[in-house]
Amino acid sequence: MDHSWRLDGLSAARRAELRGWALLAIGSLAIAGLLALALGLSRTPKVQDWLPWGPHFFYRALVTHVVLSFEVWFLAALGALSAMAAPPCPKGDVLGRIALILGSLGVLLLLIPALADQGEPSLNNYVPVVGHRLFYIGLGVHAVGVALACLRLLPVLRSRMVVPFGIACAGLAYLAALACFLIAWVLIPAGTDADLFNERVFWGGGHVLQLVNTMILMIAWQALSERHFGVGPVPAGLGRAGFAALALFAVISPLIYVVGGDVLGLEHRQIFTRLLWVGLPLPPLVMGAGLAWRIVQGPRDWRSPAFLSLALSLFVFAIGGFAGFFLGVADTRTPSHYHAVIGGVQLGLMGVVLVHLLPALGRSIGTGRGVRLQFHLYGWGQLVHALGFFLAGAAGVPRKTTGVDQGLDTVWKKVSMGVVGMGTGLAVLGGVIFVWMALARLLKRGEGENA
Amino acid sequence: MLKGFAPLALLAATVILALGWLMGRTGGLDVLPSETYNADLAEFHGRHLALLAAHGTGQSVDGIPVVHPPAGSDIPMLAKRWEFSPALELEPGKTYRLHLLAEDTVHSAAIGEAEVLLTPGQVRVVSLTAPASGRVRFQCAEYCGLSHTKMIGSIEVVAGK
Repeated sequence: MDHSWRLDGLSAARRAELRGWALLAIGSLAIAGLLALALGLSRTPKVQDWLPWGPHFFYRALVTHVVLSFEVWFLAALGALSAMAAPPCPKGDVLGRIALILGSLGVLLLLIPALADQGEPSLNNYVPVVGHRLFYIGLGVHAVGVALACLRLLPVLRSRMVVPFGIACAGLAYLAALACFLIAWVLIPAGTDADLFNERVFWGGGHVLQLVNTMILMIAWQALSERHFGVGPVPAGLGRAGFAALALFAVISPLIYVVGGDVLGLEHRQIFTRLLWVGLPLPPLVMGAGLAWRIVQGPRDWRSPAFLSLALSLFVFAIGGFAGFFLGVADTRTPSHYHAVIGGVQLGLMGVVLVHLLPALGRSIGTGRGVRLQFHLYGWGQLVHALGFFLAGAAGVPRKTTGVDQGLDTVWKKVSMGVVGMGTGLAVLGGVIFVWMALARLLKRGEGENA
Repeated sequence: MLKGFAPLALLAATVILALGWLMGRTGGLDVLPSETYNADLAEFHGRHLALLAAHGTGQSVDGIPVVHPPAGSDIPMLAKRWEFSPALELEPGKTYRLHLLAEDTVHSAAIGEAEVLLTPGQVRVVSLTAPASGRVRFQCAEYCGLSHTKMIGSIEVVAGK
């Protein structure tokens, strides 16, 4: 029986919602990309001396860049996937519309303090924040919006098709992450130091969100492989088992707040760190191995956006995953790892947007030079960027610093950070082409809106 | 048959790993063994200053005074945003007892590959044996503010002073 995923016959309401999520996701990425350029330049030797802004801008811009490119982009993409996979029903459409409104309103709210120069930036892990009431409210409203969209997916957990089943599992894992945030928030005592509060309230759920991001990559691999090769990377049963495995770890994660000791304790922190060692690697490893085998077997069409997305996302994600085994405690080898793995997810999602999402809205991107160029620039740029960070980190450059704080006192460190700047430039160019092409098509009023 | 077996094997492996994770049997050896006692900050400051006066070398590392305590001694060490004080010179192969106290907020002391959390008001005592040469990696691994990544202590092995 053919269990391939097809996106025919989305209702007008669902197409409008899908377009809204896509605009929110890619619009956020556009702003994050501009900030990334500024961040990259402010860490490049010589260039940084000529920039008019200081470290304060750097930290606020870094927080905003991470939240937009890491949280909003992926979560709004999850909202878009939910619009594509949720069963057609009028109540689901209403829920989707409310979800989209809340998701967008939340982003607007959290941007206000950052742009108005209000609140202290905090570079805590996973969800860095600007310490201002509006920022937290914005995050919460956005999170609730995405949660409403995901609630529609629960019936899809019975699907035999791998892609909808994977999307439903990702939605379930997101709800589990949200539960972790809420439980942590309730458990952390009032009066806790703001830095410690931010770190621990987002710690457990932040780890669970990495399972969601991994599932988004696997959804992309499955959907694009079905489109390009006619079959998924692995047999359908194994594909569904991979998603179920990640969802299982996500669903049991809130239990750690019961069995994992004090929410502010060391044991609690380390248990969630181990989640990424124990719970995350196996499913993407199995599906990635299957995908590698499909790519070896061919056909390998380097003009096809689906194939480029598959090949580059697998390569960049695998390199980033491998780098994860060589992390230092607080040097730039950590961003080397996560920029590469997240770059892999990003490349997969770019493929889904161009190959599945835009055509579902009646907008085509073709296979022109610009389409191919964005994958090469972004993919290879992320690799160069990660390589530079890895070399610099191995030489002892601390992460999340800029200017003299980086301590670039050797030629090796300077060259490594120069490589980071070069990679940033290439990746940003690729991202700009993607955002430009996708936004231009999304903003154009297509047939879908008039149906 | 393989098609049916592979998903089951993956799910079975996942269930085993998940149970192991929940029961804390998938690692967790990276917690530094320590003793704990409550301390008054002013009294601890007094011990810290006495150490600087008695064993200070007159040098400093990034503004932190360096001490060369006697082998086997107890060393009161303060952790605050974003420094550990004092910087240490230890003799090769000798064992010391570090009394670690966080002054302002929660920090941690990651020494080598193991770590202990430092909570204000509670002193953590850890045993440290200096290697034959070089430096001991020592830094805060609990996010404590914008310059957290630069909160790195200095422990250098120096023979025969």
